[in-house]
Amino acid sequence: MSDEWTPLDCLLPSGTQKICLIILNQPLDKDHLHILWSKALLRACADGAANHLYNITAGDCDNFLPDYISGDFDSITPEVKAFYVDKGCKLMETADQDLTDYTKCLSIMLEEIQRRKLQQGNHRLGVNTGLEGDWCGLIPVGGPCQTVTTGLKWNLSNQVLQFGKIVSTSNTYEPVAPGNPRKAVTVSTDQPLLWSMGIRKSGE
Amino acid sequence: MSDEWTPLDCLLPSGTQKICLIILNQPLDKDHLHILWSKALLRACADGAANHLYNITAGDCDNFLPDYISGDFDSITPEVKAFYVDKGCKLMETADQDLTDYTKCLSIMLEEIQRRKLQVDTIVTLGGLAGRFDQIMASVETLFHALSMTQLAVIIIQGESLAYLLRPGNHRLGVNTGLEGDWCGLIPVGGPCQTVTTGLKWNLSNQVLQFGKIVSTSNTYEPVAPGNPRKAVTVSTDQPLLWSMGIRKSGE
Repeated sequence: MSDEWTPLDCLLPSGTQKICLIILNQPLDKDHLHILWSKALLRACADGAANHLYNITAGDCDNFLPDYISGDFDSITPEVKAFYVDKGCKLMETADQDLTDYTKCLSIMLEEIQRRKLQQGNHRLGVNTGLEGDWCGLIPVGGPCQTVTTGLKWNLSNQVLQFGKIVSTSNTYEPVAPGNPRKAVTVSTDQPLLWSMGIRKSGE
Repeated sequence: MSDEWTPLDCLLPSGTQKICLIILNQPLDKDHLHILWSKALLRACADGAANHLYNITAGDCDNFLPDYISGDFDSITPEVKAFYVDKGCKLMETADQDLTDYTKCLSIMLEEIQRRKLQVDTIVTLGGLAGRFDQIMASVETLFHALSMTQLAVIIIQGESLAYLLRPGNHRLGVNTGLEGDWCGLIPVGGPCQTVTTGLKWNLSNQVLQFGKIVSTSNTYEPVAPGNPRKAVTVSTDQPLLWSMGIRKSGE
């Protein structure tokens, strides 16, 4: 079986994964931003994400300067753009093609990781950080997936997940005796399969 | 070619579609609720949706009594439940199985439509497109099941988005209500779809829409000369294909 990989390691202060961070054009969770930013080897904004970053780091913006901001720049405000340019952030205009701002930002991130020689995961998921919410799911977005799982409350035993047949939503983790750590979730699939899980709110 | 069907007709005061309304457990848009409620032949809440209905109709609750509330009742509060029971609303407990509250609510709605011999064009669902990601996907899964449960159109509206699963075949969508937002998309959620379209800014000419290859998002309508009505959007697909479109905010 493959090495265990823990999705929520990145949000654990004691987590060991090396990460890079891409911020998209959506409202930001301040706690998530702070922990991920502090760990990330590279940080980037896709277009209007810079507006959210600017607003949420107000008063401390100088400590949250992205390595680059990419996109077609139809969402970033002139004020925010000028601020980051003035602070030396790289602006990488990617003209409107068939690719979304996210895809292009990811593409640039991967080039930068290569260029700077930074280092690389899978289907043995650690779910014991304490940050896991109480739901998870496996969603065959692209097409049917022949799936086997362990560690879930409702496991799949070589069943085909497919929209219109079965989609695993509102699933959860295999119960364990109180005080015992959760077992890892293992998933084997023959096609790309979307794993989704809940994140406990801070203070819960 | 198929008859033209207009997704946003249900939100037009002058719209002609006969609708039934299902409310799911998500924050409600007050304007949408009011117009849909006033037109609906039947109205139902799935479990915790009743909490949202109760809160948003505060002060006028008596005029917004659903025909039934269904579900496993693990989300509805005891206070809200007692209120609607007291007012004579039917409570239909559907024990936890492999089906979601939404699917079960839809199933009951279809039975009621039959039982009362109602003529209905569209079942409109409020909620289901925000919140937990797995539950959004579960809403889409219900649309898939709906294809084999009924021939009626089943659509989901929340906030500024509408979702409608197109059956395999040809479709002609009216997009001229004035309520259309400026984006639309075709999303091959279940698997690859061989697709032909007209009336979009970026049309598909027998291309295969597929995750990992092409997915039509951030699309829009074919531009027309000022003062001219938009052309209908036609879509032909060989597999179920999810149509999604923006709804203009009131006052925009």
